[in-house]
Amino acid sequence: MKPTARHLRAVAAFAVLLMGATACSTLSAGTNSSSSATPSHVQIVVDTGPGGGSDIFAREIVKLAQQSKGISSNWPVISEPQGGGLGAMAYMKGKPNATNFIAAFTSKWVISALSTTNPPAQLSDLTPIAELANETQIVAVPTSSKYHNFNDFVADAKQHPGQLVQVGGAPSSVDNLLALKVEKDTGTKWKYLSFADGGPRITALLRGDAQMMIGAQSDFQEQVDAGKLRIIAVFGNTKLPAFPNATTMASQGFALSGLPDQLQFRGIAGPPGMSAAAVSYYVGVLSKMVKSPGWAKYMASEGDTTEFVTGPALKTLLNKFSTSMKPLVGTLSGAGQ
Amino acid sequence: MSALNHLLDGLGTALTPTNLLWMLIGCVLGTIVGILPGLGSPAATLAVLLPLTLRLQPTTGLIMMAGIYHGAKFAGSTTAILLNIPTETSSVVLCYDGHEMAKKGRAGPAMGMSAISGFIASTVGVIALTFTAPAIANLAIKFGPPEFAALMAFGLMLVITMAGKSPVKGLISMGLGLLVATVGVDLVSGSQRYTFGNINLYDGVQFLTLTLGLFAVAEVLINVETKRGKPLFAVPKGFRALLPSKADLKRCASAIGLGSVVGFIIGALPGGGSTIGSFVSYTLVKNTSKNSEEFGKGAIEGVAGPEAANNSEAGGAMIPLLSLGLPGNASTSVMLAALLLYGVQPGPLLFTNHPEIAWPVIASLYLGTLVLLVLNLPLIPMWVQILRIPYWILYPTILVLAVVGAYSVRGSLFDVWMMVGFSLVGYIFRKLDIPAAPMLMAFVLGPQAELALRQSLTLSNNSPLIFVERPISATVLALTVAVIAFTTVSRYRRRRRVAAANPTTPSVTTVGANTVDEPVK
Repeated sequence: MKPTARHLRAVAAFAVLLMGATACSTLSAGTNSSSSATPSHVQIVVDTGPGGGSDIFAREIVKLAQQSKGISSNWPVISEPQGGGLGAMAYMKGKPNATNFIAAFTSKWVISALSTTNPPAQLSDLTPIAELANETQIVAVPTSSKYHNFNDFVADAKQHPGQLVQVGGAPSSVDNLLALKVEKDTGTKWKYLSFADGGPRITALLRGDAQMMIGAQSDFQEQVDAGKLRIIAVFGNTKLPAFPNATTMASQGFALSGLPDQLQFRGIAGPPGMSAAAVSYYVGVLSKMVKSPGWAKYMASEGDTTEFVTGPALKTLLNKFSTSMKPLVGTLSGAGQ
Repeated sequence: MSALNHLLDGLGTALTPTNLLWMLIGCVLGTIVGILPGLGSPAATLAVLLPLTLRLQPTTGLIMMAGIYHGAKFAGSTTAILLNIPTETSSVVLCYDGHEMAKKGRAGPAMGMSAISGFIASTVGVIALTFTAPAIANLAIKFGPPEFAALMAFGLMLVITMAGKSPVKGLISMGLGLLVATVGVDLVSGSQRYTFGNINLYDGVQFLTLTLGLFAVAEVLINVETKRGKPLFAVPKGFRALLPSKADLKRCASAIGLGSVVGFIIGALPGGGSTIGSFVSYTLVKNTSKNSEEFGKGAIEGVAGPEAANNSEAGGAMIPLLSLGLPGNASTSVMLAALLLYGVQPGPLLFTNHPEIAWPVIASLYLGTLVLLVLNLPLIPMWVQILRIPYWILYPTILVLAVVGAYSVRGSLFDVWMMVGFSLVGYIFRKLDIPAAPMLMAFVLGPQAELALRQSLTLSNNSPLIFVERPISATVLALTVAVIAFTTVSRYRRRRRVAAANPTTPSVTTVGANTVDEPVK
């Protein structure tokens, strides 16, 4: 091989490396914050990695807002997954008064802050813009299971204290808090098996390692259609159209006093001190979006209900949720130590 | 056989010029982006390019994603072999033999073997996916925490057997890795471990932060000190030496076969993924090989086995995704997200409701490796030229890429400082002759092993009998014990032979069989 050819190749290889480096830096750049009336270069902060629940939700919002002509540009999604919302809230807290950063929050953010001593940030530090949706929590068991309603499960739990297994995620997640509430009210006790991802949770049910799981319609729909899982109860005031046989916990005799109506909700918040003009801009975009047919279809497929709440009513809702979840989170830290 | 017809239909759809073009673009993009540490993991690459693919037709978009996925995977092995920088967890194993080969001037054959075994394995993977999906899906469901714990014991065996000449130093490295892996909020109890109240540590240490510091930067530091002015690598002359020879291929045949099967099955387990697949495959290949003493010094089977597992995993990972609607690993979760954004609900009914999407995607997974093979075999000579870049250009570039990479994982400057800290650890390790790979492997496997163990004990009310009461778990454990016994016996015999031939040779340190099954107790 001639030396010139060799040099050329070396230069070419280096050029590829360099090209990539520039591409890489442009991809991670672009975090400039502007504060004009109509925000530009908007970015959505989420608390899950790519493919996670909030990530998909944020991407759906961008897609639907574009389709309903609320926005014309693309809003990139930034992932700040540390500590179940704590990282995302701290990130937003670090951008005071910025108008081009919004976060897709969930009710988990309130609980994460409650279950952490000295949380670096909490939802009340941010500027809530709108609640968008509430995800009804439902109870699933394998089709082969002998439980046909939640009373069957509780009766079995009474006979085998501390033996039955509920599968879920982190102990501070809503499904475990709900279980703790029922356990407290009925004087029963069962185990909680933690998996980081949704896939292994469902297989634990199908395998028979776990007897019950509390989750959302989107967690179970496909498995129910395929005849693998059965829905036996609904946490909330109304039955879900997709599962007409599953009655509400209240109608099965579980009062669950003190539990808020909305348990797993999603919304959008801005950084601390976001201007009123910016807030009303986002409210405008989002109110247009929730009226679009695409949104209705999305809500139906997820088993979510649209809850468009803004302004002071939203603040009240968040405060109420925080107050009613506090005692449950308290039992959690008591049990964990 | 209707499955075969569907697959052929799928191939037909995937083979339109538009789809092929996007697949090609995907492969090239994946390779270029993947060769850079930071955007190196296929999942991150997919996420960055997700908005772009969503503008395409669903089938085309998913085909392009399959291309990106394969491109990034191949690029991950490239950096591990050439520069000893594993940019994704599944290519950590390649540092052992792949980079050793590169040091000896055999980078070309290593990369060629990676592409070839990857191609063969994904052929096996797609065929197996087409014909065995229902059976494997059933097996995947049966794989619970005790079974995973047993599999982890098998995977961790590798960490111990790879400890090198000094088991103590290997254990120090492994212990540190396990320690770093515990940082963060514990899933089971929800309590914080070693976070010191710092929000940046809540989710633990990022893989890239550790690997870039421990490997990339530390390697630069040590080489600048010892090799300044000298050529870094032996670069082979002539095109022939750049591709694996027939003898290489023959040597690797059984490793590729073993790796393909192992990778496929482990890939199909929800939560399995290619990392465990590549680890288990390496362990199996090493312990069943006639040339096991060459492993760690540049044995080409040590590249072929894990790479086969790494690629057949793609076929396996599609089983839980397509038949159960459950993603098996990070990359398939991004594919799942894409499906959802296209308005397609993956699940047990996907094949019946959307065969027009499911089968072309499977076909494109296969075509992706073919494109890579065609694209990369001729390009290997160019990649190898990276080794010829003078150190005063290459090293600053690596340092810049390492900083950018550590930052870009989650846009955190804290991670950059942490990477600097790990570079120091890596530098001290090299000075003291402590191997760094066991630390990285323990870091990768540790959390999964711990979680599986604790979940099992939750299920059994703290009775360890659960590991032998469940048939699959007992089988895997028995296999672990058998491999240990086999290795010990064959080593003992070889040593006796050597000792008989040369009575003065001091005995070689062997792996203590009693330490291996420890995680199970």
